[in-house]
Amino acid sequence: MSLARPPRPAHTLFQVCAHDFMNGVGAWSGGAGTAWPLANLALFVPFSVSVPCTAFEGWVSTGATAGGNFDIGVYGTDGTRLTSSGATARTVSINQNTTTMTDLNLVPDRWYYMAMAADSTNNYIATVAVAGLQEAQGVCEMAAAYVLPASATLAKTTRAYLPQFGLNFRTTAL
Amino acid sequence: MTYSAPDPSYMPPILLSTLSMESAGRIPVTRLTAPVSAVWSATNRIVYVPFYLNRTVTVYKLWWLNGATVGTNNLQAGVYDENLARVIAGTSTLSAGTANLCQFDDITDTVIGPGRFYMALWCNGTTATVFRNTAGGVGVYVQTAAGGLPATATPAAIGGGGGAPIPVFGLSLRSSP
Repeated sequence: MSLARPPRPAHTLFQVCAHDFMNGVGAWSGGAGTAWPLANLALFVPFSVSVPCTAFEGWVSTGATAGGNFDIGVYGTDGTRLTSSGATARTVSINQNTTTMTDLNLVPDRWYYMAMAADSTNNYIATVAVAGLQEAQGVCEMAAAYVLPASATLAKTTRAYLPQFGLNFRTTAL
Repeated sequence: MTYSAPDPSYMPPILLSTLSMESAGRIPVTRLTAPVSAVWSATNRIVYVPFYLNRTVTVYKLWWLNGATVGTNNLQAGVYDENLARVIAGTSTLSAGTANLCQFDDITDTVIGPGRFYMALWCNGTTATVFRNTAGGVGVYVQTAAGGLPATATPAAIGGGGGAPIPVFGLSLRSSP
């Protein structure tokens, strides 16, 4: 039996999303506006790239109700922060791009973590697959991690929550 | 079963599992159906799930995703090469910990790959639960063995076609967390 190869995240596109690296977890039910599970919590999603590319900014799909701030960044597997946007005021109900992240050149043959932290329990578009399925994809977390720290101590996640967020590979995000 | 290998420049997932595209994640029933908590399908059954590595990696831990009921049966995970020789043997361990979270077996760090392998999971009863697909997957095989994972696998197709239900388990390629 010949099996067609499922699509891999295509880094010739302009964005990647955390869900691209989740092997379908969360895709079975779709995303909806859901409260960030814990104020000042950070979530870390492992990813890699197949070609050299540059992450210029981050992005997240925000939910309804005004307020809150978030921070998006990239870490190495040793917990060292490689770049981040810093505190970004949340705008409701849009696909919001950060504007203050230092460009980061990503290379193949290594793992990274894309990270997001939020300072309150405002809504973001997220999927809520069972926590163990998130954990099984390597998702990590750290409490009291807003803004994203220079050095993170990663723990396996226990959250049934994955926001729709990622990185922009276009110099000017649309 | 034949399939196209993942792009060689891609890193395997940091937690490589039966959900990964390097493994049963390529099978439509796996990708399109959410795994659910369910009892192990048969006492002393081993489930063998193929996977591919495009590079050499170090395996630090083996793991499985417990379901709603823990603490009633032992499980053991392992890895076999394409000659069906066991290359990594985990420890038979009582299912434990928080329900619906992964349980990890901290094995001796082992270098494997590149190449084709089977990951294997055994359970000695049918009361413990794991997350698994309810439908089977072609290319997934079973064996009954009272003593856990044998040194040499003798996998067989499950009766009735369609393959064995695929539990969510795998390898950790990171040393921590």
